[in-house]
Amino acid sequence: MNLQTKQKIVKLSIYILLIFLSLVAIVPFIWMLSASFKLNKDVFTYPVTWIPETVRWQNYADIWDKIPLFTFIKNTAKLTIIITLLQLFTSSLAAYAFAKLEFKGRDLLFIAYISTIAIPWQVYMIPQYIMVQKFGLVDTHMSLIILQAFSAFGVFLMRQFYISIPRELSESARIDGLGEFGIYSRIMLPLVKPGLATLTIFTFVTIWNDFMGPLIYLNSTSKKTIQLGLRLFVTQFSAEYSLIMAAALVTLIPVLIVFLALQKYFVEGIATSGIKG
Amino acid sequence: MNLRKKRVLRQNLVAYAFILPNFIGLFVFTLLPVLFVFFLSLTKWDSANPIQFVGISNFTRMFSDSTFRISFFNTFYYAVGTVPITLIAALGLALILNTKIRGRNIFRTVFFFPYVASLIAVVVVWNMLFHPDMGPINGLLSAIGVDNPPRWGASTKAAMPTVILFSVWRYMGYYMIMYLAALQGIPRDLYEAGNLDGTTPFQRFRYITLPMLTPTTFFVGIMLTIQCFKVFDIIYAMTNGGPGRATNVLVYYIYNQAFSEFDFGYASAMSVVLFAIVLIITLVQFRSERKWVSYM
Amino acid sequence: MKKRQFLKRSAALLLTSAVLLSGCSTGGSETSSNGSSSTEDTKQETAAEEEITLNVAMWDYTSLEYHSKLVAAFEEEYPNVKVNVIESPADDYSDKVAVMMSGDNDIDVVFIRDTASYTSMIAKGQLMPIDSLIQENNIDLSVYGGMVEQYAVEDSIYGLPYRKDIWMLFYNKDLFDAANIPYPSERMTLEEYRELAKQLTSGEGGGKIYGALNNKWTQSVSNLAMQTGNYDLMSGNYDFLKPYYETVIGMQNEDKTAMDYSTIVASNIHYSGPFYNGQVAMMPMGSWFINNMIENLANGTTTVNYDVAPLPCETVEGMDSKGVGAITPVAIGANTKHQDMAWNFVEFVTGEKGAQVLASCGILPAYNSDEVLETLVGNEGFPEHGKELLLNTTDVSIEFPLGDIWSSINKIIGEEHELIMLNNNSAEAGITILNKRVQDEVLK
Repeated sequence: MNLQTKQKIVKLSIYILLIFLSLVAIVPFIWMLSASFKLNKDVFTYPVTWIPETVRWQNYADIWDKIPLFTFIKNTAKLTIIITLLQLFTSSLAAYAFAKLEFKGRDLLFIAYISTIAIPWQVYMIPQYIMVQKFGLVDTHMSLIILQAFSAFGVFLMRQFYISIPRELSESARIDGLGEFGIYSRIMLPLVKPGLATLTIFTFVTIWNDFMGPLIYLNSTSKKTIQLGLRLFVTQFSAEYSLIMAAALVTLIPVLIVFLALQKYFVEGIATSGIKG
Repeated sequence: MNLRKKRVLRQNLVAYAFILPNFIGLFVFTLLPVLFVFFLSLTKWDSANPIQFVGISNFTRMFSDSTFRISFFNTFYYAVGTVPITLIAALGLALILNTKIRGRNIFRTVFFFPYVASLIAVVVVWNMLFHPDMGPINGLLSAIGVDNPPRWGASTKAAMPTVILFSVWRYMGYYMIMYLAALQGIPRDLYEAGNLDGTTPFQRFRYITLPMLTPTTFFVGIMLTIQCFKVFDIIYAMTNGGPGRATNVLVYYIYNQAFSEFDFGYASAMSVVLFAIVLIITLVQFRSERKWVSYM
Repeated sequence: MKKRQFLKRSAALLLTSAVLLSGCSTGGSETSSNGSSSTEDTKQETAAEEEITLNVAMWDYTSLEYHSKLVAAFEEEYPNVKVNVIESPADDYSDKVAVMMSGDNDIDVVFIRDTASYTSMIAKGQLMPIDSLIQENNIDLSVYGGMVEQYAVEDSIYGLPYRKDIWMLFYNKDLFDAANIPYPSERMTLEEYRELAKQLTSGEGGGKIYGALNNKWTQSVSNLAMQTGNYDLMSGNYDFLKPYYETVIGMQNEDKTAMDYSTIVASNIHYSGPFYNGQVAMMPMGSWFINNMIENLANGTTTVNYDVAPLPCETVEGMDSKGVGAITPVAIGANTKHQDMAWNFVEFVTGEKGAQVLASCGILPAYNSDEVLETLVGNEGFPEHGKELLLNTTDVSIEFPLGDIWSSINKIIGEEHELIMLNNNSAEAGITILNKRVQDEVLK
C-alpha cells in the first residue's frame, strides 16, 4: 500500500517532468505553426500572439507556387537517400575493421580519421572546391555525394556499436569456418541494427538540413535543395517569415516519418538474441 | 615463421579491404584537403595569388591577437558549459524513455524535434521568446517575482549562457538517440541475474547499466567535445559572435579570417591549434578509455 | 495594374527608340558586321551567329523582380546569348562568390555585393580592369555622378554600377497628420529630429507608435555623418560619430521614441514590417525602400502614405546638395572567354536600357538621365518629394570606403556599435574603445 503510493508519486513526478520538458522542446514549433498561418507583417508582433487572428491557409499554397518546392524536395530526397545508403555501407564495413580486426597502422589511421572531424570545414572548403572543380563535378549532385558519403563520423559511431559485441561471438564463428565478410554480414550487422538505425537518422537529418554544401556546389535551380529553397523567401530587402515557417514545417514531415519508422529499433531487447552463445 | 608472416599479411589485407570503400572517398576529398591545411598554416595565401611560405609567423601572431585570445577563451567556456549538461540530459532522457512508459514514442519524437528543425527557423523563434523586454520568458520570470531577469542575448555576460542553453536544447535529443540505441545492446540476462540477487534498481543502474553504457559515453563525450570546439553554425545563425565579441568562438573567427580577410594562412594556423586541442582531449579520453570503458 | 502595363509598354517603346537612336554605337566586335540601321535586321543577323552562354553571378535572381527583368531584357537584345545565372541568397552571396571565383572558374560577369569583397576580388586578380573598354566604347562616366571614380582601385576601374542607393528619411504622412504636425520638408538637425520623434511617439506595448526607427546597421548611424563628406571611416579616429550615437542612444533609452536595438536584433525584426504596419513615423533608409513600398502598396501589404526628406545631420549648413549612398558595380571575371559579350552585358545593364528596366520597377539606377528619372517617378507609389530630392542630391559620398583594411575595420566598428546600442558601453566609452582597437589591431 505505502510502497504503491510511493511508486505512484514517483511515476507522476516523472510524467510531470517529461511533459514540462516536452513543452520546452515543442514551444518553438507551436510558434512556427502559428506564424505559418499569419500574414508576414504580423509574425513579429509583441506581445507574442500564439493564435493568429485570421488563419491564412494561403501560405501553404503559396510555398508551392512561389518556389519550385517540389523539385527541391525531390532533389533533397535523392541526395539524402543515396548518401545515407552509401554511408551505412562504407561506414559499417570500415568500422568493423577498426573495432574487431588487428592490422598494421590501425591507430594512426584512426587518428587521421579523427583529424578530418576536428579540422573545421571552413578552412579547407576552397581547396576542396578546387579539387571537385578539377573533376568537373561542380553543379552536379555527384559532388555532394562524394563529399558526404564517406564520413569519419559514421565510422566512429559504428565502431562503438561493434566494440560492445562480445568477442566470443566472432571467435566461435571463425572456428565454424566463417570468413570475415561472413562474420560481418551474418553475425555482426544484425547485432548492430540500433547503431545502423542511429546512423541512418543522423545522416538523414544532416543531409536533409545541409545548407553550406548545396550553397557552394549547386548552381542550377533545378538541382537545388530545400534549405537553399527556404532562403529564396529571404531577399536582400525583405523576408517572408510566414512562408519560411510553413515550408520548414512541411519539409520536416519526411524526417519525422523516417524517425518514427526507425523507432522499432530502439525498443528494448532486439539486440539480446544470440548473446548467450 | 613464414607462415605467420603470411597470416599477418592476410589479416592486414582483409582489414584494408573492409576500410577501402570508405577510405578512398575520405582520403581524396577530405583527408587531402585537411593535410593541405597543415601545409597552409605555414604560408600566406589569399586563395588566388601564389602561396608564400612564412614559417611559423602565423602561430606567433596568435599571441598578440586579442580576438584570438577572446575566441579561444569563449570556445572553452562554451564547451565546458555545454558538454556535461548535454551529456547528463541526454542520458537522463534516454533512461526514462527506455522504460515502459506511456506515450514513449511521442516523447522521444518530441525531444528529437529541436535537432531536426532547420536552424534559421528555430533561431528566430528562440530569439523572440528570449527577448529581454518583451519576450514571454522574461514575462514569466517577472510574473513569478524575479526582479532583474537576465538580458539573455542582449548582454555580454548572459549571451554565452544563452547560447549554451540553446545548444543543450538542440542537442540533447540527438545524443539521447545514441544512448537509446546503446541501451538496446545491453543483454537482458544481466538484469535478470541482477534481479535474482535481490539488488535495488539503483544498484542495477550503477553496476550494470552505467558500465555497459561506457563505450557510448566515451563516444558521446568525444563527439560532443569535438562538436563544441567546432561550434559554428549556431553562433553564425544566432549571435554572429556578439554582442561585441562575447560569443566569438574559434571557428567563427577562423571563418571570418578566411572569408572576409582572405587570410587562409592564419585561418589554417588557428585550425591546426584547434586540431591539436581536440587531439589532446581525444587522446586523453582514449587513454582513459582502457581504464573506465568496459568492452566485453 | 493597368497603369503598370502602360508603364511597361512605354518603357519598351523607349527601349526600342533608344536602340534605334544609338544604332551603331552599341557595336562591339560582334554586332557591327554591316551598317544596317533596322533593329529587325540586326536581330536576324545576330541570331545567325554562334550561340554564346554567358555565366553571370548575381544574388536573388529569382526573388528580385528587377534582376530577372534585367537579364530578360538583355537576352531579348542579344538573342544569340543565353544568360546562365548563378544565384545565391543575398546574405551568402559573398561567400559563394569567394569560393566560386577561386580556381579555374568560367564566370563571365559578377555582380558586386559589397566593397569588401570587391577590393578582395581585385587584390586576388579575379576581376578584369575595364578602363580600356570604357575608353574604346566612349562611355560617359559623368552619368554616374562621380561615383564610379570613387570606386576606382589604384586608378583602375573594375566595374560599372547598375544600381545606386541614396539614403533618405522615409516618413509616414498619416502619422504626421494624426499628430497634427507638418511634414519634414527640409533637412533637420539632430536635435530637431529627436524633438520631432518625441512628438510623434504615442501609445504603449504592442500598439505603440514609434517616432523613429534607426535600423540595426552601423550605417544607420554612420551614414548620417558620412553624408557631410568630411569624414573618413578608415582614419582610426571616430570622435565625429559621437553626436550621432548620442542622439540615437538618447532616442532609444531616455526618450523611448525609437524602436529598441535589442528588439530589432533579438527578434529578427525587419525594419520594413513596422513601417508597413504604420508603427513607425520616421526611418532613415536607402532608396531601395522606395521599390519595396511601391511593390507592397501594389499588393496590399501596406496602405501607408509615405514621403521622403533629406537625412538629418549635425548641421544643415552647406548640406544642400549632399547625400550618402552606395553603388552596386557589375564587373567582368578575369577568366572570361567571352570578353566582348561580357562587356556587352555590363554595358547593357549599366547603360540607358538597363536603367529603364530598373526604373520601371522603382529601383534607382546608377545611370542618370532625364528619361530614366521620368520613368522612375512615373511609378505608382513613388514618393511625392522623391524626384526633387534625387535632383538636388548631386554630391553623393560613398557610405563605406574601399581598401584592403576596410573589412577588418568594419568588423571592429560592427562589434563596438553593437555594444553601444545594447547599452553595454556608453557612446563616449564605446568610441574611445573603437579608436583604440582600430589603431591597435589594424593601423598599428
